[in-house]
Formats: sequence, C-alpha cells, structure tokens
Amino acid sequence: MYNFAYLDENSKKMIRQSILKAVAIPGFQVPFAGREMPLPYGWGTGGIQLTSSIIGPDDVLKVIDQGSDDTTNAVSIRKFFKKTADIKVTTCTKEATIIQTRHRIPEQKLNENQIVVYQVPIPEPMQFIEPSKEKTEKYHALEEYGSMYVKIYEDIALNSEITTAFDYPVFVNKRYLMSPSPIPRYDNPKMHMAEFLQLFGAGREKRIYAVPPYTQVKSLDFNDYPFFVESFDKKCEICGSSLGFLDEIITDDSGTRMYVCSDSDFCRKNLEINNGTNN
Amino acid sequence: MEPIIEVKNISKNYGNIKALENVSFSIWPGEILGIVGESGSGKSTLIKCLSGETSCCEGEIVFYKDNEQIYFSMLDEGRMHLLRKKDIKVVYQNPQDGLRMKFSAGANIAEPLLSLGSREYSELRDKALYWMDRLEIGQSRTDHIPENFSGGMRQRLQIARSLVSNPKILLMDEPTSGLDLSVQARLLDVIGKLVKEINLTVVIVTHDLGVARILADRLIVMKSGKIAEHGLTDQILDDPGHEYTQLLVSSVLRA
Amino acid sequence: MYLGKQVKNNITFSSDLLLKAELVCKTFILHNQNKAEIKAVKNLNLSLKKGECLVLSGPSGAGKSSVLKLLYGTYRLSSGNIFIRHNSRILELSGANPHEILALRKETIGYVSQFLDIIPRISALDAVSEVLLISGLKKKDAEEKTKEIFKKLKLPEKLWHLPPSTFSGGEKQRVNIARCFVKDCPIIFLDEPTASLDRDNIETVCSLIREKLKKNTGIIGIFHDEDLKKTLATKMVSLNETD
Repeated sequence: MYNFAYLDENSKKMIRQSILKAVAIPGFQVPFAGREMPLPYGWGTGGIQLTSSIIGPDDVLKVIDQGSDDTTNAVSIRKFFKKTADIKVTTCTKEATIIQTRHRIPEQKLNENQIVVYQVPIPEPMQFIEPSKEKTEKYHALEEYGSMYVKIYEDIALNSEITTAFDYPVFVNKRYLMSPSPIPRYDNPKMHMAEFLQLFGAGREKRIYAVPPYTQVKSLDFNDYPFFVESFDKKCEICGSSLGFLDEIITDDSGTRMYVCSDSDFCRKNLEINNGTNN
Repeated sequence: MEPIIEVKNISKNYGNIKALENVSFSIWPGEILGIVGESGSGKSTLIKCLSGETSCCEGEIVFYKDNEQIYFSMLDEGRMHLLRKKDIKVVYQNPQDGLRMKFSAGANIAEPLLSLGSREYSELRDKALYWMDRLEIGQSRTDHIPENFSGGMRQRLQIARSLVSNPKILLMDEPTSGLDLSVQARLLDVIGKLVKEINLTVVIVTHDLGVARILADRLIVMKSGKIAEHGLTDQILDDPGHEYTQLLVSSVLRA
Repeated sequence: MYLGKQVKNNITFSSDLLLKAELVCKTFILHNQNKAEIKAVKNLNLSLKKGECLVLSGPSGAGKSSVLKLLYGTYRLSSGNIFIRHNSRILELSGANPHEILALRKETIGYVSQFLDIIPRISALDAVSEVLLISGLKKKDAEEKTKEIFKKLKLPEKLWHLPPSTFSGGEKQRVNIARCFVKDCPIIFLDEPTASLDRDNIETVCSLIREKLKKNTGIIGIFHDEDLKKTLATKMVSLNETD
C-alpha cells in the first residue's frame, strides 16, 4: 500500500532538510523538490508535503480550511492522513499536535508542543509588484524592500489607509519580508513571538519557509499609519461571541447576512461554555 | 580641489567588441560634464561603468566621498547597491527603464526614500508634492500614473525620482532624445536651473551638440570606445582639434 | 593638439597691467580638408592696462574675433603665451586647467560675444540676474541691479520676463551687453557689441563703456562703427591679412 504518510522516506528526508534550513533562516524562502501528490496544485500540496514529512505515529492531526474543520478540503485531507498514516485525528485545537491550515490561524492560543502548517498559494510577497523571480531574489538578498513600501504608500494615497485585508506582508526576525499566506490581517499579531512552530509550504511554487517559536514578526506599516486589526461590532449568531474573527454569510437573495465564527472549534467550545453556564 | 570621481584607464569588452579602451578622466564637483559621440562610441557603456551597473574589465573607478576613497572594483554587490541607492543616480534614456509605470508619480518619487528607510507617510507625501512642483509636473498630478504622462513629463518624473535622495552625482543618458524640440527646451531649462540651485554634479551623455553647448561646462568626445578629445565646451565646439571632433562639429548648424 | 606650457614665475608684470599676449599664434588644421592649414593669428603681441580701451582693427577676416577668442581661452594657443591677472595671481592661459579658465571667466573676464548662449526658456531677467546670483548676491538685489541696467539700455519692460530667444537682434544684443556689464570684473572683451543697435542705444553703450573705464576696467573691443572706434580707443592694434 502506501508508505507511512504517503511520501517515501527519501522525499521526507529532503523536505526535512529544507525545513531545517527554513527554520534556521526565519522568513527565507527555501526551494524544495516538490513531489507529485494525488491532488492538483492549488489544493494544498505544499502543506500536505510538509505534514507528511514531520508527522509521526503519536501525532494528533487537525486540518482546517478558512477556520472550519467541516469543509470538503479539510475533510479530504484529514481522511488522507488517516488512511496513509493511521494517526489520531481531531477537530479540537487543544488536542492537536499538528494543525494544517488554509487561510486562518486558530483563535485558541497554541503552545510549544504544537506545529502549524500553512498552505501557501504565492510565497513571494512582492509577486505582483515585481514579477521577475530573479529580481525578487536579489531584493531579498540585498534587503531591498522599497517596492513593498511603495505599494503601501500607494494604498494610503488612494484610500487614506492601508486596505490590505489578507496576506498582509510581514517583516520576520528584522530581516526577511514574508507573505504570511492569505490569512486575514486579524491573525497577523498571533505570529509574533508565538510559542508554536510555524511552517509554510507552497506546492506549486515549490518553496518552504518557516518562523521558529519566539520570533519577531512585524506587519509592515508607517509610523504615522500604524498597523491595526479589524474589529467587529457584531456577534456570532451561533455562540454569541464577539471575540474571534467572524465570517459574513449571505443567507438569501435579498442580501440578508448572518455572522458566524470562522473558527468552528472556537465556536463549538463557546457554545459548550454557554450551555454549561445555562445549565 | 579634489575630483569627485576619477576614472583610471578603464576598458570594457563585450566578447570581441572593445566598448571602452583605456579611458581616463576626472569629474569635478559641481560641474556639468558632457560626453558626446555617435552611436557605438561607448558613451552608454561609460555610463554603466560610472554607475556601477557593469564592472570594468580593466582599470579603476574611484569615488571620493566625504574624505573617503571608494574603489569600485573593491565593492561587493551590497555596498554598490547602497551607493546606487543614494549617491550615484542614473536617469535613463527611456523613462520606462527608470520608473514604475503603474504606480503613481508620488509613489515613484517616494520609493528611493522608502528604500533608504523613511517610514513617515506625511513626510513622503510632502516631499513628493515638493518635487512634482520643482520639476514643473504639477502637484495635481501626484496621484496619476506615468503611463498617462507625456514623454517630457515622464522624463522629468525620472529626474525628480533621482534627485529626492540628494545624490552626489547624477548620470543622464541622452535625456532629451525622443522629445519634441520645445519639450527638450523645457527639460534643459529645468535641469540647468536645478543644477545651479542644488550644486549637483552632472554627467550628461548626448549625441546632440546643441544640448551640450547649452548645459555642459566641459566636454569629452568619444569615438570607438576611446576619448578623441576633451576640454571646455566652447573650446571643443569652436576650436575642435581632433579629426573626429571636427567632423562632428561641422555637421551642427549654429542657431 | 597644443600641449600646456610651464608658467614662468619671473615675468615682469607691472601693477597696472591686466593682460599681456606674447608672440601668440593660432593655426587651424582642417583634418577633413586634406589637413589644410589656416594661420588665423601670427605673432601677436599686445598688452592691456587698467582703464585702457584697446581697439582691435583690421579688415574683415583679419582675425580680430579670433584674437578675442584666444584671450578668452576658447581657442587654444598654437604657440606663444597669454598672461592674465586673475585675483592676485598671474595666470598663463595655455598652462591653465579647465577649472582655472572657468574661474577666470566667472570672476575676471566679461565677454560680449555675437551670440547669446543660454538655456532656451529662461527669462531675460533671470538670464542676467543669475550672473550676479553666482557671485553671491541675494535674489532681490540681483534683480534690482538687472532692472537698472535694462532701463539704461532701454530694454522694454514687457520683455523682461520673456525668454530672449524670441527677441530681435538688437534686443538680444542688449541682453548680452547687460549680462556682461551688470557685474564688476576687471577685464571686458567686446565683439561688435553695437552691430544691431540704433544710434540712441549706441550712445548708451558708449557711456556704459566709459563708466567702466573710469572704474579702471580694461577693455578690448572690436567695433565696426568708425566713430565709436575713434571716441573710445585709447590704444589701437591693427591686424592685417599678413599679421
């Protein structure tokens, strides 16, 4: 059948070497020889290769997609690892040792025993300003990030504030500019001096990067236009919390909308607490 | 008086082609030095060597900055990059090579400062407005993109972008080529005034002797990668000594 | 190509002497015309003292303009020496480096040539006042002085803020004259300064010249107007075809 967690041991070794290098140089994009996976690019192949290389028989895996354990992709990837590695899987954030995620960081505070694996579509933060890889690699080497700040300047000039809502570029360990993957800006502060290890995998672009625990991660801004996170004046319709990141769901054709917690585990836990106090 | 740049016997080959051969000269602070010659004379290669974009095959370029002597051949890529960010700026013949066409004029002017570490938006905005005015592009156009500008405006934006970091020396590669005569006149106007006001050192490469006569204090005449002749502008244009210079000058009509 | 000569330190240069030319020769070699040689100036000797007005005379083509250009450093000497008092030194032109010559032109010699070489769209006011700005005057004072001399030269006020490229020959010449006469310098060269002017303006230029001479400025001039030559000249040097 399959080798443990699908990939052969040599591939895992190669990927672990890339991970080590990435951890040694926080925020730096390490190229790796991505393997062919049983799903197309754009569906999390990078994240899966990372998880496959680090997962062991005692690990507990949680997979979320936009915060939810229940979406098709999250379910499929969870099933994939259950089948190829027979490890314990969970929807409970506290229980997990590895959390593979697309587009969100869980609300629950994570600790030193946990690893978050991010799925990354476009690892290069300056991709849309400077399409040439040759040039962006030079920029990173020379610590030349003027063009990224130009984009932010432009944002302020046109919109009076920095409007970037997700994939908000960050400066890691005071050295490398990094794309945190398309997480909402709301999640950026969680990356700073985090207790947990953060690994980022881009399957199509074949890049791995990492932020080791207790690393400085600063969101780009100006002194007179400081970084700020979104705030919500609404509550989750299900659990009543206004603390986490809320998703806006349009429920009918006339535009009625409801707000629910994006993090499904967080929402569940809140409900339990509420029901507990109500009982 | 010490020169600001000394070029010592530089040569540059592209395969078998000798683009520059044993070129030596000095550039003095505050002067406008014109480099004239026809296509293929080595003018553009010379600018590339002076700006550090290319390295010379032989010879040395020395930059005198604040009591320091900086040898180009000894600079690593990082330090050269720093030099090009701040002190030695290039204005390209084609403005598109020196601008971000899809970003606003203000953003283009702000970039060198951002690159040098400026993090105050209001300060950047003020500087952008100031230079838009100074280069006669107009503050109202600060948020417009250069894609929608005329050739002359783009060129002036390029100049604003290069001057904002307060460089020691500005290298201009055929800045007036491709522009209408009246537009050229306006550009020369602006350059001439600015240079006097900021006490900038300028090297201007041109094949147009009329431009050289108006702007340059001294001229270097290039032919086939070598210096044919050099001297004060009026000396070269009114009393050309070298055979090639005479040929060049005789084809210019005096207004 | 003329090679620089050593400056002689032991030449006699009396305190009222401004300029001295010794055995100056200029030969043009036209490389593209079979290396034809044209002897423009041959063995010229002249000296200029403070307060003197030296007039160069001779038929057209005798080399009068060439002499001025040699003295100004535009033409490079084929042989001979030109000594000029510059600040407190005696500068020998052929041995001077480009910056010394530029300094000479900025501080010591004023030149009214037949052409007006300035940035195309600069106003007449700016073109003349910038000469004063360079020597350190404040903008307001420079403009005041400029307007004064424009008035003397009867340059219409409506032209002051326009670029001279659109002016008539006579108007351009007056701007040229203003550019030179507005500053104080010990030596002035004039190449046909009144060629396009009417009687009235010629009188004005005449009085401006006399004013300068009173201030001990040394002037070397070329005038086509015979009367002007006679009234102004304190010394004549005539160049003929074979001189």
